[in-house]
Amino acid sequence: MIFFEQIISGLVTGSIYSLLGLGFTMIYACTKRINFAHGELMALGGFVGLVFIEIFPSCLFLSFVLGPLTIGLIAIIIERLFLRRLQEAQPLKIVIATIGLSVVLSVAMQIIWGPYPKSYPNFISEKPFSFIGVKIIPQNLFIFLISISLMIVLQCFFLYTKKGRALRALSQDRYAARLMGIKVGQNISLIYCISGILAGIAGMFMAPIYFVSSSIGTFLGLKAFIAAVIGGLGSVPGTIAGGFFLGIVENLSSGFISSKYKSGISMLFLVLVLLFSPKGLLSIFHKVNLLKWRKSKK
Amino acid sequence: MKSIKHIFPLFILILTLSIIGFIPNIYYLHLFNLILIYSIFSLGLNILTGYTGITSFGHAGFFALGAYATAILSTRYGVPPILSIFFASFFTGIAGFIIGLPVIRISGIYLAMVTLGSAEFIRLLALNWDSLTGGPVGISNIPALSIFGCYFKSERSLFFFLYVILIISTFIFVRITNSRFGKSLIAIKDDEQAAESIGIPCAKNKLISFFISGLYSGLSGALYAHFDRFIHPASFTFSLSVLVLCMVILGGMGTVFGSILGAILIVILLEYLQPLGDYRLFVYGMLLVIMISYFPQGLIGILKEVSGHFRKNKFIKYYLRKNENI
Repeated sequence: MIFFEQIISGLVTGSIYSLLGLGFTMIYACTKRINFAHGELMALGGFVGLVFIEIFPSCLFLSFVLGPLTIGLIAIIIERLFLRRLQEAQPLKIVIATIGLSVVLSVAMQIIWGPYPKSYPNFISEKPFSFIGVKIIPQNLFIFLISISLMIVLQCFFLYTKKGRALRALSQDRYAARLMGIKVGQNISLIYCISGILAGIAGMFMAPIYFVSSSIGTFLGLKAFIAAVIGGLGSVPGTIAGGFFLGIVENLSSGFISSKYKSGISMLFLVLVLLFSPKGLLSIFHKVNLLKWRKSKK
Repeated sequence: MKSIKHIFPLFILILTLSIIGFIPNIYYLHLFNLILIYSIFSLGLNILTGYTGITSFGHAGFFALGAYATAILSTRYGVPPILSIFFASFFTGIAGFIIGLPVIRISGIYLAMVTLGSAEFIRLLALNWDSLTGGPVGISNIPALSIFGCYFKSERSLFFFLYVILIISTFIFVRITNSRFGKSLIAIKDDEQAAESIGIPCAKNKLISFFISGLYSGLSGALYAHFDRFIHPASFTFSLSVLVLCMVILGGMGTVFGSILGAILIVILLEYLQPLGDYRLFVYGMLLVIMISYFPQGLIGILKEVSGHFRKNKFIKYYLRKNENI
């Protein structure tokens, strides 16, 4: 039973990794750049959400809408002010710039909200109920279900709406997309906004588990990036799978081996995946023709 | 005229040595010692980032490896410090080679992530392998540097020793970067496919540059361990990697004097912003963002532009032109 409980808590951390990793993946797919300030946006989401909860203590739903929207707005501002200047620069330069930005953001949060972690109110009761002998905390179930439904909505948005199709065209070939009348700058802003909103939601979800502090952003952002790379940077289903995979592996290893080397194990996975299958774990399925077989049958 | 040009750098070296070495204030000497150590460190990063074009976010790991190797050897096994420093430096070079092995298959941002991951792994090892590294308490009472029985215990004597080491390592660095091998690294940075097509063994040269980078970073880490005489895992975090990246970018990537200039400026900033405490990082972050987006050539690049306005200053022009070739 401990095994299943570890897996369930792995699914909860995994859903946070996936929500964050989706931001990395979408920005990478559309601009071929990686925004390392993304983890800090998540921490900021936690703090801003706390501010809104204190303003509207009675209506939790309202702060869950307003908090992420604010983060989306901040993401657009960051993109317009700093990252658009670097659009044509070398990829590594933008990485260095965004790491600088993340340091700035985390220190700014430390100045505003202080260095100590802040506790968060629970959305739903923390009293566990048991389901076929496995103890489940309702709040974790809530986090998991909401994240899964958000991911499904996102995937449907990319597959079935006109705007989503435009974004996919943008990720394939920016110049061809511009020739077809897709406004590149506007759509990149939209992508930053969506990823900011997801980061804000992840920030409010992780807050009851990890507490909010100014240093949590770098830590979780790195994990989410590893998850995205493990699953396959640039592919939405890959990133979701990678996030859940990393969450489960981390929880199982800390449960059964040692919690000291928890982040070391995820780093080890990153190196192994990069060495043997640099396009992510999902590309292994392509390699063994599991997916091609279905296509040829059609 | 040519002989003056050759004597000029020697003249400057001796001048700075004699001015700084006899400053009465020990505190300033302490700062200069830090500058010397960080100069070697940023040279080590520069050969990777500035010359080969590989960005590393994990040089704190190399620094920690060098420091821990010499600390363990000299405290546990009684190896004389001067020997253990060179052993630690060589050991870190080998470790750099091993960490750099993925370079054969991956590049760019993924490689940067591997370096970050390895640095994190080294820090975790230092934190959790209590029997070897002392865990979170770290290693104290590291012996002072000594050669043939004469100890470098005071800041002043240490300054002369470090100065000599920096000059030797800078000299070797300049020789490496001006050699055929150094030029091939720049070719790899500019266009890897073109470099491969004219017969440069890219993977091999990248691995060698990882080795050299590890050598320099390990040397600086080992010197730091004997300088501070107390090391603990909390001083080798990600912020150290950002700091040294800041030095290289601020001074100017791909220039020898740029990385020394960066080390000087960053250490001075570090000291003068001491009252800000942890908020110092804010300044570094802003510095990184502004330098990268507005002055990607670094301070050496700014100097180059300024010297264009004052054409009469022949000495500055001569050195800048020399750097341009590098």
